[in-house]
Parts: sequence; structure tokens; C-alpha cells
Amino acid sequence: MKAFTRVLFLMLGAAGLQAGEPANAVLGSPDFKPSADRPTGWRGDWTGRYPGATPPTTWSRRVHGATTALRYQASKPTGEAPSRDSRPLEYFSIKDWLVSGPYNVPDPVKDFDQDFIGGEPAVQPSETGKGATWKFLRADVDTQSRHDHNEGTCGQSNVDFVFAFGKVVGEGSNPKIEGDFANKAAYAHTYIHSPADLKVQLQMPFDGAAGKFWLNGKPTALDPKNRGKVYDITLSAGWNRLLVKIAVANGLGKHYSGRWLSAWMVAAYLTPVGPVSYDTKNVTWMTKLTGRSMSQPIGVGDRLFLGANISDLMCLSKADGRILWLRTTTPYDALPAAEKNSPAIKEKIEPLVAQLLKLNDEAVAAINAAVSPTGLPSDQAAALDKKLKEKSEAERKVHKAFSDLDRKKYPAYFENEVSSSNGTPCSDGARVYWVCGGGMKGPGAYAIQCFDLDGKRLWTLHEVLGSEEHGNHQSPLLVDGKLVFGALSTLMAVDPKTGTLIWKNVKIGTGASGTSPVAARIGGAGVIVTAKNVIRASDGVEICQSNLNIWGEPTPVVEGDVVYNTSRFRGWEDPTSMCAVKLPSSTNERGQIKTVWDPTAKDFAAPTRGLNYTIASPLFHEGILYGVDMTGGIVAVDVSVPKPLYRRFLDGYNRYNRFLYGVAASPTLAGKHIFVIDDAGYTHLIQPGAMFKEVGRNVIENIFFSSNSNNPCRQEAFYTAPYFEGKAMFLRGEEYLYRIEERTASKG
Amino acid sequence: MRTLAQVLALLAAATLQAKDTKAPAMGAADFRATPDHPFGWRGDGSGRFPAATPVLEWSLTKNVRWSVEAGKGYASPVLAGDLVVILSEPNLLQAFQRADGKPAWKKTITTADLADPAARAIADDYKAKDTGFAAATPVTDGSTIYVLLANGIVQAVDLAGKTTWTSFIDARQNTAYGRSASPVLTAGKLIVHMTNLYAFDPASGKQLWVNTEARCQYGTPAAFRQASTNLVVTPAGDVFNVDDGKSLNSQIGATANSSPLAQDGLVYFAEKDVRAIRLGVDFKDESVWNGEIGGDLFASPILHDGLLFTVTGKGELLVFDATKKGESPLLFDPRPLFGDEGHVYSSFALAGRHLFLHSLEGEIVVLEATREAKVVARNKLKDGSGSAPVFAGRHLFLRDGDRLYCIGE
Repeated sequence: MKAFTRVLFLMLGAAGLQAGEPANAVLGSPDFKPSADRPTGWRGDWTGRYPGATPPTTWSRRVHGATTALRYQASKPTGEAPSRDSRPLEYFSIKDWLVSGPYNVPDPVKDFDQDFIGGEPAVQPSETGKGATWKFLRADVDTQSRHDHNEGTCGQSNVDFVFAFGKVVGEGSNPKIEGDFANKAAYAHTYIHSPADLKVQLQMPFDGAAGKFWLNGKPTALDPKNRGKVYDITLSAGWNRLLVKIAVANGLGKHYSGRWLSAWMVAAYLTPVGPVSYDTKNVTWMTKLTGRSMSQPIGVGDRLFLGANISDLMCLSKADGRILWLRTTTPYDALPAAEKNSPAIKEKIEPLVAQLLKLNDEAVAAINAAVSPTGLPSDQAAALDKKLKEKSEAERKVHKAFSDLDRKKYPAYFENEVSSSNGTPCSDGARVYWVCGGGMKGPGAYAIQCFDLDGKRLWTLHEVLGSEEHGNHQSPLLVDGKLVFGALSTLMAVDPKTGTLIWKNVKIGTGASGTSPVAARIGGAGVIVTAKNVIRASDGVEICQSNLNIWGEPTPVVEGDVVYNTSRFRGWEDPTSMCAVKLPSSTNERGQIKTVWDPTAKDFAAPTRGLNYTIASPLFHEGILYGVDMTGGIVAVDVSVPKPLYRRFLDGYNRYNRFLYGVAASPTLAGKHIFVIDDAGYTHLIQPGAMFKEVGRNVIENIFFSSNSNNPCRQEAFYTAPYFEGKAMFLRGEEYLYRIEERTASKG
Repeated sequence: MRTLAQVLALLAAATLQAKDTKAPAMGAADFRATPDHPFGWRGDGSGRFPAATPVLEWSLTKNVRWSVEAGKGYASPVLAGDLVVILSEPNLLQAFQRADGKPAWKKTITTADLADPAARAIADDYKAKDTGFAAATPVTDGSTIYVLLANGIVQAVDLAGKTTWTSFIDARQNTAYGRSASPVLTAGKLIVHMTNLYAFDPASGKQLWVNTEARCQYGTPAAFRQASTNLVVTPAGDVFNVDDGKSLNSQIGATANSSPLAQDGLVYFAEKDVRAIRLGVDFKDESVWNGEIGGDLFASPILHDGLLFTVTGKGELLVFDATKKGESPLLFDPRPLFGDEGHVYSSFALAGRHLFLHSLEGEIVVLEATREAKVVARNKLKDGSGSAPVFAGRHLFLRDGDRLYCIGE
């Protein structure tokens, strides 16, 4: 009888469901429908390729007026209007300078006022003029002397005088530096064009013993005790001159690892005075998210799903961006009915959960009221942010109350790095699955959960699996009728329909908090590739080690029976490179993975002058493997030889620190282009192929004065690869989800 | 019969204690490591050298008795007989005369020391990460020095520099930035926490047991004895019986970078979650007090006169009242010890009534070990270190950059 029912279902149900629908619509096509056999999840189908999509190639969100109207150039203007040499001010960063130096200064503080250029207030430098020698310097990642991801130079778009006047020899984790940097002073100068008198704010973070800037000849001393200080300035209509001078006792500092780094640099940012509104191009709607997260959106039917804040699963309408439902998951949702009736839960937890649900409803209403093509002006954003902070605090209280009941069983969900909602949901077309939670440095608990598409909670598991040093960022995977999730040393599979545990392997390798499990097939059988192993999907048994030696957070990509890694660890002093391994031919437990290629040459890694680190996952497309590291270094390799095709830096926002990771989002193919999004949302459109060709760049500015995150850089961060469907791109930032497609411009 | 055995055990313990009272205290000039009082990371693991009376001020030109080039590494020096022994990158073990710094011997520990070709191949393939090969501080019982390299080699070396035995740990690294947990000698066993928890026979190097549930972090386990049972507690808060490696409790606390501290009947964890734990009957844990720390932290705590001291990775001093029950907030806001630019991997060491802390920039700050924690001296050497100083009488031994210093008048 049971078998007959199954047959009937297959004939009438599944077959009927597919009638009239393209059976093989590719991902990115508006006709693509996820199913149990073709689920959607992390990077769409775990590859980062959306060949059926036709998204726009241009879009923007820029500050309305003010800084958007500014242009700057290093060379001396020859007329009143900006020339072709000038550049628009993007992301508030001045990047083109003329620099002069180094000048010997006996004491960088006492003798700071010594004028080395014969008239500091009046100087109008050019590369060819008389007097002091000036040379061009573009403050991008290629002109930073060090790239270390922890406390390296690239925290800012610096004029790095050590790079400008020294010589960096070689590359890799610890290149040599040649030059004399003791008791020196140097200048940087740029010309800024403003269409009118304009009040803006100037930030000049610097490293050195003393600093001063002159705006149109008027001096202001930089405060060495407040290096991020914001100065209110007024730009005059027409050309303005900005000169900055930095003096150092020793321009070479010491990284805490003992390696040298530049201690002689300055950056410049011109930001608007609030309140700030925006103009957008090709943005259909922007929906405020409940909080920071790395979770990518996925599309199912007319809906989008993504994680946000601590443990929010958000469901949005693709069409208009409104939140259709929001589910926040705490350990309460996983409690059996009997436990929910216990006095401790009734008295200590339920009132807090009720308050959280009330604030959730209020947050959804407020967000939906604010959906628009331009997003909120900064003054209105503050009110919404306040409400979202209240909601977050209410959720923290629930988790803390659970921890107080039993700190071992209920480590708080909210400890994870970036957020506890970093996992990307996955779906078989009928249900959506997600995991939130995590922790830091050992303890960690997770909620594995399943909803129908209308938000009905079908099951929830609370699992204490522990966490890596920087938390857990793995996304769940659907393979062979199982929902698979990994954290720390555990990989587990549950029945997607019921949440019943199928298997749990607690001995998988650890040390890869961001590397999600991916599916592959061996002889028709599903296997799971993790950072360290190849696991049989049927029973969770390890077939072999994966030998990928992943450094950083990337997830490998599987192409047929070959697995590719673009961040292959080779030793602390050596740059990473790439490797390819071939899966064993059978799923028996003594399988052997084979190295396809594992080149050590530096040409197989992104360029670096420091310890490179990689968060983004590789992209494989038409025989070429693309990798992007945190600094924005991109590398492409023809996998058939293998043969390096190109390696270079992308000229983007170029700031990274613990809040802006440089480039964290994985490169993604949509239609004819590869989209590489840096942490400011600066999107590079790369033409696939053997030659590097950038065919477009797009800016999304969002300077926030309030936020439900602690990002100190004030520009919205983008950690996440977009989701593509038809003509639309759904791009997730720290603050908003953006629907981007061809349309008329919108004014804020 | 059982009663008789217990009486005998008590007598034996009493005898041991009587012997203990005659032994010089840690930090005394005549302290010599023994199997009962080994000398390893942070001396006896507590970081306390109460009998030491070092100078408080020095510089490159003042109060340096001797200094020698010793190579770099995170491992701290250890005192073995009249020698000071130090492990340096990637595999160099050196001994110097404590009195004058003259080299006694040096040896490189290589994979060729491994008899098993399979083990040799695995060790050869090991790629060191941030912590390098030589982050673990050796431990000595006064006649043998036990060394652990990050590639899995465990080696015993006598005080003449001759290898006694070499063993190997074959375990996948489970920590992203390398391996740094130091070996511990306790209750006649050499405990090594490298991915799993291992016990070796110090005499032969034979592996006695392994517990694969004991996931390691970067810190070193703390050994102590309670209710006639020899225990070791790991940074992840797992408690094991040293005799057989069996688990007795788990998750009693948690640290990732730092080490737990077992002292005065309690176990302390001081990282994000600061917690003092009492193990009761059947080794069940009870939280005595708890606090909270913001920011990254690598140092392990030190307990003195009812105060728990530790320091953040940025060099901010944190002090808790360890006599409290329940919530114990910081006594004062985090106090920068090295200005805005400090970085600290090292842990506090106590000598007499003073705390000593070394920054990665080369400054060693000296504080009074009191509630006020007044800074009494700042001493600058050249390069800095992530290792901790050790003391003997009026002498202080510390690593700075690639040099080993003996500080004293």
C-alpha cells in the first residue's frame, strides 16, 4: 500500500508539479525551481554560478548632492572645471595624490614646523613644476607596503610614505624593505573640485609623530591622540588645495608578530554632514535588515530567504521587498512541550520570549513601512535602528536567561563572530532549512530548523556542538535526502522532513569555521566534502581525508570528480596557492584522494605583501579557476595545464580590518560577467576569460550615523555574494537587502 | 583492609607533605626541579615564584648579568639544575649555565630522531603556522627535559643533552594557528595535549593512554590533586583522571588562547567568561564566582592574595576580586599597561610581591600585586616576546627577541 502511494505521488504529484515547467532551467533563470534533487542554498547551488541570469551591469547608490558632486585629482588643474584627470569621490576616499619627500627632520615633533617646500600654505604642486619634487601616488592596495590582515597597513586607503620612498623587495608574507625612514617628514597634496561652497567633514587618520593639514593654505594640526578625529571644514566653490604633512621618528613600525610595517602614512575621507539622503540607479527596492550577518539570500518561488541579526530568518517578497514573515529562534523553540511547562521556563523564559515576539512584530511593521528604492535618510534610519537594537537586546536576554538556567546546555547563540546568523538557508522548494547560533573559542550551540514557505515552524533542534576560535559560519547542505550541517568537529545529517537524526560523525577534522560542506558524487552515490574529509552521505563514514589544506574560510568548489581550493596553505612564511584533488573512485572507507595539481609557484596565488588570508570561495567557469583574497588580489588559472593566466589587485575600496574584511564575498558568475564585491559594496564586473578585463564598477554608498552593528568604518559593509534571478540581482549588505535591476533612477 | 590502605595512603601523603615543607619554594635560588616539583611552563603552572627577590629595574645596559643569542620562539625558559634550558625555532634545544650564560650544550631535534618511517613522513609534512614549531615550553623533573614540537615529536633529553627517548603523536591539528600547549609532568606521567590528551611514561616514552574526547586549544592543561585523585583540567574545561585518562567532567569552563589555573582548591578560567569553579564530590562542578572580559586575550591568569590578574591582548590590565561569590565585576576599568600600541601574548609572572609582564614590543612592566596594581617600573629591552619570565632567587631569566637574558644586580 505504501509503495503504491509513492508511485501514485510520483505520477500525479511530482510529475503534475513539473508539467508545463522547463525541466532543466538553469540557476539564475526565472524558471529555475529548487527541488530535492536540485536544492538551492549557499552560492545558489554551491558553485556561485547563475548562468541563466541577465542582471544589469550598472547601478549605484550615492549620497544626494554634497560629496557626490566632488571630484579630485593629483595633477595641477589647468582650468576652472574638472579635467579628465579628475575622479569622482567614491566612498568618501581621496586616492590620488602628489607626494614629496623624504625630508630630514632632526626632531619630528620639535622641528615639525620646518618648511621643506618653500611655502607650505601656498604650494600648488605639479609633477613637472619648479621647486620641490612631487610624484604621483594612487592610494590603493598596490601602493601599501604591507597587507597583513591583522593590523597591517590596509586599514585605510593610505598614502603610505614607506612605500612611496622605500623599496619593497619581493612579495609573500614578509618581504624586505629598503630605505631610510628615521626622523623624516613628507607631504601629500591633492586638488578637490567643489561645484559650490560646501560644508563637509574631513577625517585624516595618520600614523606618525606629528601631522598637519592645510586646506587652501589654512593650517590645522592633526591630533596624535585622536587619530580618527573628524574636522568640520568648508570647501570653496571651484578648486581647493589640500596639503598634509606627516613627520616620523621611525617610519618603520613593528607588527606584533615581529615583522615590520609602515608607521608613516595618512589617509583622507570627505564625508557629508548629516542628515544624508541618497539617489539610486537601478535599485528597485531596499529593505532594512534586522541586523548584521553574512547569510546570503536564496530564492524560492516568489520569496527570498536569508538570515539576519542573531537568529532571524527573514522571508521577503521578491517583488516588493516587504517582509512576509520573520522567525527568531531561541532554545525555547526546540523545547519539547513538557519542558515548556516547567516552572523555570514558564517564569524565566516565556515572558522574555513574549517580549521578543512583540518587538519582532513592531520591527517588521517598521521595516516594511521603510522599504523604498533609495533607503532611509540618515535621520530616519536612526529611529529604526533604535527599534532594532531594542529587539536585539530582547533576544540576548532570552539567550542569557537560558544560559543562567544551564550554561553548558545553552551557550548563548549570540557570541559568534560577525553574527550568529551567518549561515545561508537552503531549500528543496517545499521547505526552507537554516542553522543559526554558534559561539566563540570553544562553547557553541546551534538551532537547526525547518519551516514551510509560509513560515510555519516544522521542527527545531538545539545542538551543542562547540565552536571554532572565530565561531562557526557553515551553511547547511541538502544531499541525497538528508540535511547536513557541520560545526567544529561534528558533521551531522538529519531527515529534512522530521529533523530526526540520521547520523552524526564527531571526528571530522576541525580548524575551518567558515568552510561549508559541499556535495559531490562518486559512482552515483552522494558524498560530502568538508575542509578536512570526504564523508559518505549515506552513513556519515569518512572515506578519506580531503587533502585540501585550506587556509582561511573558503569553501572548495566541486567540478565533476575534482575539488578545487584557491587558498592552499603552504607554511606560515609562504604565500598560499591553489590545489586540485580528485575524489576516489569508490565510497569504501579506504579511499584515496589524488592530487591533480598542487603548484608551489607564486603565480598561483593572489599577489601579497603580507600574510594573505582568504574568505571568498573559488569560482570555476569554463576551465578557469578564479580566486580572490582579502586584499582584493585576484588570480585566474587555466586548470587544464595548470597555467596561471593573471594575478593582480582590484582597485576598490581597499580598507580592511576586523569589521571590513577587504573582500569576503565569493566571486559569482551571472550571465556573462563575474561579480566581485568588496566590503564596501564596490562591485567589479570582470569579463570571464584568460585576460583580465574589468568592464564595470558600481558603488553603493551608505554612510551610517546609527546602526544595529558596531562597524567603526561608517560605510555599510558587504560580506556576501549576491543571489541572481532573471534580470534581478539581490545583494545583501550589513544594513539592507537590495534588489538591483534595470529601471529609472530614484531620488532620495 | 580498605581502611588500612587509606591510612597507609594518608601516612604516605603526610610523609610527602613533610618532605615538601623542607623543599625550597618556587623562585628560591636553591629550588631544584624534582619529579614531585617539576619545572615547566610558568614554573609550576601557576606563574608564581613567591620566594624570588629579583631586581625591579633594568635595561640593555643596566642589571643585565648576561645575555646570549638563543633564537626565537614562544617557549619560555625552564630551570633544570644549574642550567637554564630554552627551546627555539624550529627545533633547537639549548642549555646555558645559569651562573654565567655559558653554553652547556645544544641539540637539534629532527624527524630523523623518529625510528618509524611513517611517523617521520608525517612529521616532515607538518607545516608550521603562527605558533611555529617551538611554542610549547619544555618541562623538567630535574634529571630529564621533556620537549614537544608542533610536528608531534615528543623527546626526553637528559641534563647532558643526550636523548633518552623519542616518541611521536600522530594527530590532525585542530587549531587554526598552530600548536602551543606545553607538556605537563604530574603524578608520574607526562601529559601532552596535542589534538587529543596523551599520557606518556616519562622513563620510557611509552604512551600510557590517550583520550580522544579531549579537544585541545592553545593553552596548557592544569594539573592538580583532589580527593586522592590526580586530575588534569584542559582549557576546554574537560576534567580527566591522570591515572587512566578517563573523563570525570566536561565544560566546567572554557578558554581558547589561555590556560586554566588550578590553585587553592579552585579552578580558574579567565578569558571571555571568567569563572572560578569548585569541583565537589564526584567531581561535579560548582561555579563560585564569575565575571566577564571584552576583547581578545592570550595571557593566562595569576592568583595572588585573593586577586585574579590577567591582561588583554592589547595590554590592558584586568583585576578581579577572587574572594567574591556570584558575579564579580572588574575591580576597575581595563587599564592600558603599554599605552595604545601594546600587544601581549605573555602571561603575568609573580616574583615576591610583584607582577612582571612582557609585551611583544619589548617592554616589561612591573606592578605591585595588590588591589591598586601600581606600576613600579618599566623596563625596555629590544624586541619583545610572547614567552613568560622565570625566576630563581635574585635572578630573572627571560627571552626577548632572539636573546635569552639573565637579569640581576
